[in-house]
Amino acid sequence: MQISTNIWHWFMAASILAMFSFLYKENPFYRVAEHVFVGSTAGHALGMAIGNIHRFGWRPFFEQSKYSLLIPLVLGIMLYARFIPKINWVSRWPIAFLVGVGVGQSIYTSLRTQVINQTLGAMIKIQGATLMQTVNNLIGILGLIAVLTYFIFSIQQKGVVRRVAHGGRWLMMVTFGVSFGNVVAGRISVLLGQLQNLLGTWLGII
Amino acid sequence: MRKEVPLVITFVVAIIVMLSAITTGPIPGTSIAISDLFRQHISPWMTIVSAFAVGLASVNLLRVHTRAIARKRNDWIYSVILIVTLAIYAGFRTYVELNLSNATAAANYALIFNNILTPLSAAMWALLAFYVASASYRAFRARSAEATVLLISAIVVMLGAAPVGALIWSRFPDVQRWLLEVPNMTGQRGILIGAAIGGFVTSLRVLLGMERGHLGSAD
Repeated sequence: MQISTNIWHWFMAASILAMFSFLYKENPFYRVAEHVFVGSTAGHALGMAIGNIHRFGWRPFFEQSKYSLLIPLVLGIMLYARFIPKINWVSRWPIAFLVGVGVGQSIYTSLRTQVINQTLGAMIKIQGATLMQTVNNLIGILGLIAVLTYFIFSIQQKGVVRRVAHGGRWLMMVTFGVSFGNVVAGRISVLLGQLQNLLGTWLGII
Repeated sequence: MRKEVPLVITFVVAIIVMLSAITTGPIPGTSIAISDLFRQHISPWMTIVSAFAVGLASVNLLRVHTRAIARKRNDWIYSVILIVTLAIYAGFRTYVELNLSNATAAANYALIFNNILTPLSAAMWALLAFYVASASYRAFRARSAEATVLLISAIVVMLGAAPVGALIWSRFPDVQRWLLEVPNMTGQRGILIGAAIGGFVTSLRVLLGMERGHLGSAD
């Protein structure tokens, strides 16, 4: 065992232990760690944001005379009008701009990458090289039809449609189970990483 | 003016962004291409306005916590800790951003980032592993056949990903791979297509001004 003498490793260990202390019960160490976490995350994001304004707005505006950048700079300042009740409606303009960009991008990308590309990906030959491959291809095609049937809300789901949609629900249950299993496995791997930091980097046991 | 201008801004910007992805060449009668309009103006403008929005979020956070300190609410001392931490990180990061050539400042900032913020974030993430396990037990108890399917597929995926799974049954990793590549991919694909169509319709409603929730209440 060789305990680290690096002060930063001690900060790291204190941060991890304070967070994990919540497993016992809520306590002052955890509350401090929680508030440091929120404060540092917000502070980091704020610093990055100021950097972005300086790099993409302030400097090009003053050093390269890109006067069109006055528009986003003014729009950005208008966001803060929401703190002044008399003119808080002014903050809607920059929000409308941000929503406009988001809407424009999502209309194209959701259709292109998610609807068209995913549909193309499902257009496969049923006949595979092996029986197992053929079965897999059938699950891929019929399963997709079943899941999509589940999302049809414009007709009443009864008879055959209801049975197909029910099959789609079963397939989605498998999907949710797999996603859940992946989330748990991912978090356990992060936990192991933290234990490695504590037992290896800090205490030098492993 | 209060409602109409924002609707026009949303419509015009959304049309420019949408057309920039599907058109090439200049707009007839001009030398400007819509894709250039997006790349040279809308995209950097978006970065700048988004950065101001992050500042707005920080101001909100500060308002909530300074109010807690001023009124000496319960546990106000934690609000002091939050504000001090926010000021240190924001000040230091801003200095690094405004002095990009200063390698020493960047290296020092990396110390407080890598040894405090990163472990706190990872520990918070890892902490949830314990609670996800207990919450999942309560949520997914095999009450119905469908819940059982969900539970079994989750267990198989977890066992297939861990070395102990292969020790219990050598085919666990194969079954896990099949679950991931066939039923999971099919289900994901269906959910993605369904969600994308829903997102597309919502976007169209916003574009046409039928959905105005983002503009807040009428006044």
